[in-house]
Amino acid sequence: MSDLKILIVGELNQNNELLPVTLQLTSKTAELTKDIPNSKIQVLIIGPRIIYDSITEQLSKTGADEVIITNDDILREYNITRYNKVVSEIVRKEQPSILLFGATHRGRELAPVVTTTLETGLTADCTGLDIIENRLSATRPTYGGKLNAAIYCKTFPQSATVRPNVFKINELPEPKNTNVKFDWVDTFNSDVKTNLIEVINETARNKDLENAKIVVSGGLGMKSKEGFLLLEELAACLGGVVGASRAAVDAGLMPQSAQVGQTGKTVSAKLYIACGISGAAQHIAGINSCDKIIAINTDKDAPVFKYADYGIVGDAFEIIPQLISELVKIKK
Amino acid sequence: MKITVCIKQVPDTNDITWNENNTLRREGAESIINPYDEYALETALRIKEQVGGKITVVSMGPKQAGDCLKEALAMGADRAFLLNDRYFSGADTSATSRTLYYAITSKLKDTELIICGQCATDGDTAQTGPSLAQRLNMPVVSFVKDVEEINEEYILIKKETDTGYERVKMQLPGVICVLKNDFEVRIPTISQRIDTADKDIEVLDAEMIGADADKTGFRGSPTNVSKTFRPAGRENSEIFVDKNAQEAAVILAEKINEMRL
Repeated sequence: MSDLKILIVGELNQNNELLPVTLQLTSKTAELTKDIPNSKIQVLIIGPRIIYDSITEQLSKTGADEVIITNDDILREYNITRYNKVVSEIVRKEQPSILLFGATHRGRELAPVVTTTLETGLTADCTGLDIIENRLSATRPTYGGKLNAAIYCKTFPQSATVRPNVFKINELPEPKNTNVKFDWVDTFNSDVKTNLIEVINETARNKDLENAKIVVSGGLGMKSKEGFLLLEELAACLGGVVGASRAAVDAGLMPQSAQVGQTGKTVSAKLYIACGISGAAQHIAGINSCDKIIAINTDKDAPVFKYADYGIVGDAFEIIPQLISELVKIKK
Repeated sequence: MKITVCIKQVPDTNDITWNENNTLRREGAESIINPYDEYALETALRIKEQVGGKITVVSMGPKQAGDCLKEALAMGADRAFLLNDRYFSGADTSATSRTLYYAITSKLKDTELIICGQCATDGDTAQTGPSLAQRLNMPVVSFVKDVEEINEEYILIKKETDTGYERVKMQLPGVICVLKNDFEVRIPTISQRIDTADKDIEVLDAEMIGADADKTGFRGSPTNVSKTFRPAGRENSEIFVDKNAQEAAVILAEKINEMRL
């Protein structure tokens, strides 16, 4: 018997590969429970009848104690009625005390339907997780990122959707001896009322930005499209990608797909350089998990400096060209 | 087509300020219709223009939320309900969806399509719509970018996914949660405002919608805020205020080099 059972609802992409957010959640919960005796992390995989060995291996390395596979060809396509039935039945059987989903488009649609079916509470789009006395404390930004709220759920399972890329995937020194369990839920006769007609892929949906190691971002302070060309140059020199604040996107300087922040992309780069960005809370919410943040801004009171590891009070238009030539010098 | 649109009144996020104890300073903060809900109503109005029908807007909130419903009537909604009871306050998404469920099953039984905004700009949970659908035992499609076709039996939707779009056919009655669309939301004309100024907002309390008051509001909410705090800044920030461009560039180049990227 385990005192603390956590069930993570895994998500697969169209090629039946695990999304990073599932591994991020496994890794984070493994870290949170490492000193809790009798804790158990289960990951639920829902998909067609194929071999899931490589997924199981990935999950062993990140800390899953058990992988529950419900494979049925009828589950190849996501259908909310069928997936809800699978998750709810497995939760009723396994009785986890904590239930987690990735806050992907699918997760944010499925989770509230599942938790309403189970009559339990749900915290949305969390950016922080903690376990205090075997209970979940989930943190999320509210009011456009201006305030963080820690949410406690008094019903079980305590449930949350967690934003992708806020946690890192840390492989354990030794993979866990993960148990693999097959289960099956009959969804053949489910009263399905939605039908998928067509899938339209859009590969350029700035996956680049979310996975980039280095991001150079600009705000209204970059003034024009030409200003962003300067950032392109710096990004090219560093091997990075260009992003933008909401204000810059609203002003038409960059496309919506480049927007970083609570209503745009969450980035988890090793280095984030914010140029001419004042640092509205909603922007900070999208960059806070970056390893190092550099800010360049003419206004010494700009809030962005509070969140920067290194800040330069100065004009990005003067500093960036000089920085590029210094970086080229070092490269040589 | 009988359409119900769920509307939330939210503070204008752009002018939010905080009290010392991290509670919202309500004085001076302008309240607006949640921008996603404006698109929900605009979507409903376009469907009505196309296939005919009747639009009812529903909001749960304090008396002042009636202002948003007035605005919705001026935009072209036919009827407005305000769910207002002291028991309803402090609700999380679960209790909110339950209260809406009581209202719809008691007053709007013949609803064929429910439209919600994808999320509200204050809470940004995106949970109330799908949760409501499940309580009503209706199907739901969220992240809806466009309604392509609608008739008495089904609705054909283009929805956003993590990797692009999907086209989904949903049987009615059902619930859709809409994103902002490419179209503009209409602004009522002065004469539309005058014409609808006297229209009644029907105020409903727990008893009138047959709600078990203990299952609504704070008491009916499984989740509570246990504490609030401002996002933390970085420790050991090094801010250089008086370097010229050349000096600044040298410092940054060194720091970046040390990161060994």
